[in-house]
Amino acid sequence: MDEWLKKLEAMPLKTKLMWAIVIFIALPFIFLILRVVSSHTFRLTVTLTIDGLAIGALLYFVIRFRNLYLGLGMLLAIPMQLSTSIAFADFPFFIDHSAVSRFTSLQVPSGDYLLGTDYEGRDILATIIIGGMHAYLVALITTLTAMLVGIPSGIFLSSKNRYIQSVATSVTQFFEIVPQLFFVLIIMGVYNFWAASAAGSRLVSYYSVPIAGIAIGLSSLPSIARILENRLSLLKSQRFVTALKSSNVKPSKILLYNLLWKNCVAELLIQATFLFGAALLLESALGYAFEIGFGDLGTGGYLSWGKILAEARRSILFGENIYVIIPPIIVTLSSILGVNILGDSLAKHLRS
Amino acid sequence: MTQNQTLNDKETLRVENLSILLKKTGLAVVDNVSFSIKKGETVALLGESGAGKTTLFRAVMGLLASYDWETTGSIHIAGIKTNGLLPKQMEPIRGHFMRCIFQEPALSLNPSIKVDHQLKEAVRVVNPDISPEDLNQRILEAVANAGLTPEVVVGRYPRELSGGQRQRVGIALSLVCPSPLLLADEPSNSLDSVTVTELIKTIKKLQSTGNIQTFFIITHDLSVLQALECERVLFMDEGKLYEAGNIQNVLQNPVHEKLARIVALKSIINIKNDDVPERRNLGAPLVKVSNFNFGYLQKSFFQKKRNSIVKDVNFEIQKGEFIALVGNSGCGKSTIASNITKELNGFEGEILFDSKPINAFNTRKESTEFFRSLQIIFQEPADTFDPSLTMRQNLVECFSSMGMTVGEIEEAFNELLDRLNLEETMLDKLPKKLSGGQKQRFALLRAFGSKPAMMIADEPFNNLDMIAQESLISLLKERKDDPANPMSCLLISHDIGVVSKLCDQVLVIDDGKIAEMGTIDQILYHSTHKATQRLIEAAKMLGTYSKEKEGV
Repeated sequence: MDEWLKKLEAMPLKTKLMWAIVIFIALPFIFLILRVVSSHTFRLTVTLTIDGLAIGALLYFVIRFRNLYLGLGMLLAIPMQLSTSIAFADFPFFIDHSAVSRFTSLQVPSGDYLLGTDYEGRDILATIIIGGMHAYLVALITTLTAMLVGIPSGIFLSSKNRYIQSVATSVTQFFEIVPQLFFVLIIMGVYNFWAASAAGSRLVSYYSVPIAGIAIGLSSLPSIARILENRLSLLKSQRFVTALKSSNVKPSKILLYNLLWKNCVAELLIQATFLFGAALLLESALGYAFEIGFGDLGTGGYLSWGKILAEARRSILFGENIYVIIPPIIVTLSSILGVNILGDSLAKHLRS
Repeated sequence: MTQNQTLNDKETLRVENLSILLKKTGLAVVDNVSFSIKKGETVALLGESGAGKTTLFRAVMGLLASYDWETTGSIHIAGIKTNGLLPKQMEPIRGHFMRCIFQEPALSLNPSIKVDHQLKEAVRVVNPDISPEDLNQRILEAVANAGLTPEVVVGRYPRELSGGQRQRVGIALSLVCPSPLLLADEPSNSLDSVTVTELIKTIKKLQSTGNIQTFFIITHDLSVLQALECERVLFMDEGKLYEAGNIQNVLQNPVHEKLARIVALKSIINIKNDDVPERRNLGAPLVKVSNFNFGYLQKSFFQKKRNSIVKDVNFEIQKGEFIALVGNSGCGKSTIASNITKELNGFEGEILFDSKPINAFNTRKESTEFFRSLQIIFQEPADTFDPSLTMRQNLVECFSSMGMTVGEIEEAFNELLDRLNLEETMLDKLPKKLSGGQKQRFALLRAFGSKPAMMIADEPFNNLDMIAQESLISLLKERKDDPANPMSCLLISHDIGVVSKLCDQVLVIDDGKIAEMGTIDQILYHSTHKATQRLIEAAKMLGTYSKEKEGV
């Protein structure tokens, strides 16, 4: 244990920060294991304790290395992360509790419903938790898609082979020219049209979440590809690439290990974090504005914070029953701000 | 603070009890240094690499980030205390009173702006309302002073110039405006001897016309100081400064033991190698270059033209033979070497390594064999190492890709770290934390580590101080005379003095063609081509070459 701690101390600061962020974001997946247990209270308590301890440990380490800015980001992003962990562990319970029901609509916060219920009768706490999970999933899928298509595009853009480079340029320019909003809406519209027409014949499963993620991710391809192209071109013109080639290092290894992994990964992580935040924002905005576009439940749609806000428009317009809209506003604001602060603090530390 | 305020007879530069500490480690890079320079003096700062000279210059220029460095003491320039000034306040002083030529000026050029625009920018900073004709004239003057012809510079990007030409443009950047105080940080490093002598003549001329009043130069090269006729020499060692008197004092009774060693080495290096070995004919040559022609492709829409840079080169290298490629910078020496090492391709003619054409080493096994036997020392050490890996990781990656086992790598480290005056602690540092000379020595380690049969050394003595140069020369000689595995070397240099000590055959290259080829004797005593004679003259002026065998 002691030597493990010593190894931890010996890592350079930049690596520690990168790992802290990656652990913070990837933590909820551990709680999927808890689905095998059947007791709701058990799942809930275990998730809360472990997640709480993990976040506490990360915050402690972060503050110990005097990165208060990073700590602030993590603190603000907790609602999203916590919701995701709880939802991953205990999905059936919360989805049941976020069912629509006329009987329980518009109840003030009380013992039974901790945050009250909204206009449709859903338990607001449950909707926040499920909404958090969906926001997280969409943003994560966005980031992964963008990385998956963006990294090869960036590599091909900086290639010396003119044919590869022109193909990559065409693809990147396509996504640069077509407006992001336009692209996402078209894809979501097409999907929803198909889902709605198929809704009668069978229960359409949850494809809205990954499709939304992929759409936003594809349209964000240029941001990753261009940054990578820039860095790779700069690095390739340096002497050490020639020196490595003269030492018989394989060109593919030079590209993937020396250039990409060692020199570009920090920048890519920063871009990924900002992309995560941007995806959260876009997803909430589109859910609010185009409520139908992001799916009704039953046609493969999913519950998201934007959607909750959209349904509660009366509350915003007339200023009544504010307990309905305050929770989604607070968690949305806090999550997006938190993730952006995480990205900013990473940028400050990793870009020497 | 107007530009027209002339300096009175006070000291141009006065430094009092200056200590500069690196905040991270607390190491005093400059340790309680005090000196002063009067108007009109020519002062030299001598020292080993890593002694703190560049840091001292940066502090004088006000370029040290207070985030990383802690400065105590004071610096006065023309009577004004510049120590704690904000950047805004330093600006009028920097452009008008002081200019600095940095180490490796080639790297201070912006790669996306044409060279003449950069020079114009440098003038406009100091004289914002200069007329275009005056501007043009100024930059042409500066370019001529630095030793270049205007056609080379006007309308070109930095990448289109050779290494030496870029170096001279970097120097021209600092000569565009008259400056009362000119600082120069190792300006002669990558320059060939002819250009160095011309640069020294220019500086003397500018001093006599009043363009430069005070000249403060850092160098590790005593020959430059001799040619410059420095009145005062300061010696710096591990942060501390010592007055060493004028250049004669330095040569005759050096005041510090390290200085004594440098002086002693200078004479040793210049002793001519009297025993010229016979040209050994051991059968098939190791490297054979025949009918070699090379030019860069000029891509135009209709035809692909090649502007030939190297024409019609033929030579052979036997096992255990050292061949020198000598010539002005920009004549094509590095191009030939780059083609042999497969960095550039598309040459016409034939290059055989071990009787096999170099394009035939294609499989993984064959290319391992090729690169293990052919190693290169690059010209500029600045970016020869991956900036995100420590030196140890860099070297281990290179060595293991060449097929060396862990045991062999350990052996290479053990043998060479001491020889090259490097410490084990440096292995765990990132390249950006090491000085230029240290990086170059690590590059030497990488080249020698795999015990290659053929070494291509592209201006290896450039960024090394005298002590390191001596270790390199002794390493090269040792490997050459190794009976079991004699190493051959293609040494590219502009310094005919050093070359005369090591090499069996000399090829003088001028403008892409072989001007003369022969043994040292033939070249030095019976040369016919004027390019060779220019080089010998320059070497004589710098004192790096003398005909008789000198006693120490």
